[in-house]
Amino acid sequence: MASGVVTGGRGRIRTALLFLLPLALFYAVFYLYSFIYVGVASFLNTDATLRNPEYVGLDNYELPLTHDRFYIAMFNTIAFALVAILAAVTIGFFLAVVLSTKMRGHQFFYAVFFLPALMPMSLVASVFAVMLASRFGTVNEILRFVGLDEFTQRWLGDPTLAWISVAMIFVYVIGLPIMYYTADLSTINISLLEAAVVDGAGPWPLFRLILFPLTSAARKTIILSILLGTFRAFEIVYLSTGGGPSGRTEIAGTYLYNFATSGVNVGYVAAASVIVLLIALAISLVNLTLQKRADARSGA
Amino acid sequence: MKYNRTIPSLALAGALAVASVGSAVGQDDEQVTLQYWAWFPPLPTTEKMIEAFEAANPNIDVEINVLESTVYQDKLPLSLAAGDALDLVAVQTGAMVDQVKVDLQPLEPLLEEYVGADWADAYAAKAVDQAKQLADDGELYILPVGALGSVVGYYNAEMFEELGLEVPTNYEEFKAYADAVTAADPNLFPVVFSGENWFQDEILLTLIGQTSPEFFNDIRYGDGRWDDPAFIEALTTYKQMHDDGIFSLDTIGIDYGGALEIFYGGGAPILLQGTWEAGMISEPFRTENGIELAEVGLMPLPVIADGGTPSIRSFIEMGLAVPANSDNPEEAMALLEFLVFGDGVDVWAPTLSFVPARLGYELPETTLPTEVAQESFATLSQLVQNPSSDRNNVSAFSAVVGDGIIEALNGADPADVAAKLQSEWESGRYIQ
Amino acid sequence: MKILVALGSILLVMAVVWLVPIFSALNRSLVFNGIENYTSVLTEPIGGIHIWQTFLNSGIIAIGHATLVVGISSLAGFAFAKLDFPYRNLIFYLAIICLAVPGTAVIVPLFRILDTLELLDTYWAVILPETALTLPFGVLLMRNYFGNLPDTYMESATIDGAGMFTVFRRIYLPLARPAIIPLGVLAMMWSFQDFLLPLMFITDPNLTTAAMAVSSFQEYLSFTPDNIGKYNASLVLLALPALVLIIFGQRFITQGLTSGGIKE
Repeated sequence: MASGVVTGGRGRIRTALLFLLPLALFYAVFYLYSFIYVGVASFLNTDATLRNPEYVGLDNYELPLTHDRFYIAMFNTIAFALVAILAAVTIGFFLAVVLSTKMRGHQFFYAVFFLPALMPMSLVASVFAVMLASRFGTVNEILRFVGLDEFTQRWLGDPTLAWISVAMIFVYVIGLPIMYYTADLSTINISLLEAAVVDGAGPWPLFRLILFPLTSAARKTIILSILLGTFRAFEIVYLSTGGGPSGRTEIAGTYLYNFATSGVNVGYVAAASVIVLLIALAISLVNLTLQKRADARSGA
Repeated sequence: MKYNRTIPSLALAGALAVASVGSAVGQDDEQVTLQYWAWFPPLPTTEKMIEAFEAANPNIDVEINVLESTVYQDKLPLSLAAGDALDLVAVQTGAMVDQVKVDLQPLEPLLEEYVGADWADAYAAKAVDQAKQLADDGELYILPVGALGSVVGYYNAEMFEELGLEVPTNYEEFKAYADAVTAADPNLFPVVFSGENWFQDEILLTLIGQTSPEFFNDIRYGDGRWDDPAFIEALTTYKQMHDDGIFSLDTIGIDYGGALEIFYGGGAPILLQGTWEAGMISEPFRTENGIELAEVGLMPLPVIADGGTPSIRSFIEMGLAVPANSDNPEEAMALLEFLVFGDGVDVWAPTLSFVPARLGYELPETTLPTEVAQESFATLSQLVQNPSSDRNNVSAFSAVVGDGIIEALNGADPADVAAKLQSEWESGRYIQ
Repeated sequence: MKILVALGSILLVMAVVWLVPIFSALNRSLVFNGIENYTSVLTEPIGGIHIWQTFLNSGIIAIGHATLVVGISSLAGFAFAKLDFPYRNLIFYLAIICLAVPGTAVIVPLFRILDTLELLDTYWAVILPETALTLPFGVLLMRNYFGNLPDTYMESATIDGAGMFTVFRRIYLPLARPAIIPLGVLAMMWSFQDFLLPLMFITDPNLTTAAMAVSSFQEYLSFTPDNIGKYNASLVLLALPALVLIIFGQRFITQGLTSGGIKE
């Protein structure tokens, strides 16, 4: 192995290429072909086996773009993502900080908040569906038990409440963001905080001026992963409300599944997937721009 | 969920084959392994069927692959197109037939050769017609094992007796029934069912079929319209039934399993479902599957409009087919014959999921020990064999119809819903 | 002092709320047949294979998946964070955008790829596509974490004449433990719960994974009380590895504020 400082453009690039080679390999094999397949299929009317394809131009694109359910699904995807992000950077952040002080019982609390995030989503979603059932569901039963009968609701049957219920499931799994924050917080030198406290800083300035900026790495990860990850989400909605009632809680993943996977016309799924991906790309560009501006402002 | 039942190894099979070549014993000596794929009946029942077949045919081993229905819709066409050597496959009786028929062998020649030229005499003609109609070239590629339909009602006979209830047959009786149930215990559902969108569609189409039997067939095969007055009227009445307390809006959040749970647990005297759940009217079935209800009867939906007749939509289900790539058509047909005409029927018929297409089949006596059970079965057969329309759904669209129904239940105007459905149907998203 | 008490009680209330669904899940798993649901799931073979065998298969796949994801993500994340090359940010974002790709959208092309590579019906049939689908997330996490670490080590190391890979391996990788461990854990958990990919790509019953076994209880049109009970019980069993991991591995996942921290 050649020793010496790696200088010069070509050396740098070669090193970088070597580091990126495994990633590039995976992407080339799996994503490249898949994107080409999906792209080509989106212009065809054909089944999964791609036999007897019929070229239909942009017809497959018209189908989702003229479908009001599609727009609702897109809107919900972004909206749920924003709710989840908001919960993560407030509640999640708060919990991560408090727990990282290693207070008494912190291991118990960590376990309680992490467990939902690591459990199978199919379990979480179906349990919520059962809990929110109008007649024998846990939530309503508890309300009846304490005599608050008037507050019982059709949590899953009423469109607005169903939306809120799904949003609550997104909040329930903030264990992951807590994990990222914890990782970030672990790199902060405690003497920094001690010094600040000695200088007379109260909790709020501590949060705002030290902890918040220093966890920006975790925050960026959280925002992007939730934003984009919601496009991939499926079971969280499918196994709780199924996208209902009447498609009010539909997200991109359930739309693709419900409308486009009967196997008969793969072109429809493909076109819808392409549009979803383009929207995701647009969203992340928006996020990128906002991030750059925020970074510039804070001088990071 | 795949289940592998090949006895030891191909090596053993190979050794046997080699050994038998030199001997002068009959030609059926070689060990043959069949690949059988299906999504139904559930694995335990399928296992029993195959065990019986293997016992009767010691030289044939069968490897079973039972997958969940929606996964099956993707996996079977892909595997067939990839050239996998499957021997007997179950095909869903809808769009799948056209999708995979290029990989299947036409069945009529095989039936004539291996089952007998007079095979059709022992088989329901209607099933043959419906099966041929599914392929756009009118050929027979699949042989359905039977038919099923929806929606019917299952009632808890014990609860009926306790509460002094009678099986309702029209709207007034239905309302009286619901009032009686709620009076006895407000926590009970007078009628429980899964409020999922596709099932709402099934219920409504069943109700429409009582007075306009051709409604669905017209839409499916002709140029019928969803904004037809028959639909709007039925939807309005359906809404009314919720307002009158017969049905409850609480069912909207309940899924398939949830409704069954409530019924099995005594939370409702009547359950609405398809005929594929009819196993529960048979006592041995109930005991075997842990359903702790003393007696369950089957009833058609009460007639909600004057002049209607009780009816359901039904259709053939589970068509067996032999892929073109099979190396063992003779053995595959032996399995097919066993399942459709032969002793295999004795294994799956008592589960009552299908009404067999084989003519003249009689259930074993133990299946329906009581009068209620026998009457229920008679009702079941009569309904399935005399449907109003074909239960030939376009599944993505059933969900859309159901969503429209739910919107109406949540306050939308039925006429608006119908108009929206019609324009959605015309959009080209569902049938090309 | 009062603040601590207030905080403590808020935490307690939240914990109780968070625990309700878990109790609900346990409650559901005992429906109809009680503890028998668990005993029959654990002892009866499902289609010829025992549940512990399926967990074994899932474990192998999960470890393979996690190893690949952690390895490749660290390498790539390091490159995106610490190495300078043209179009670095652009390439990074193109890589990340794949996070939005839903499995259902690409299941068919993935099937064809694996078929061509003749990998169907092997552990790789699940490990490789799962890795591909998790990599975008892994790269995001590692790149952001590496980006957070100071460059000072780089400079001093390269002056000492170390090659970049040595810098990576000896210095930055160990520092990245707080990110690598959660990533590995998450990768394993996701792999464990994934049922779509194994269902589509595996047919050999001996390779059945735990998630596949669970979904088999939910077979179409087969909702007898026995099945409902077993389904719920098996779902809880599927969550067990998560619980075990949290109880025993928590130390590694959570490292609170330490005086060994490096950020000034």
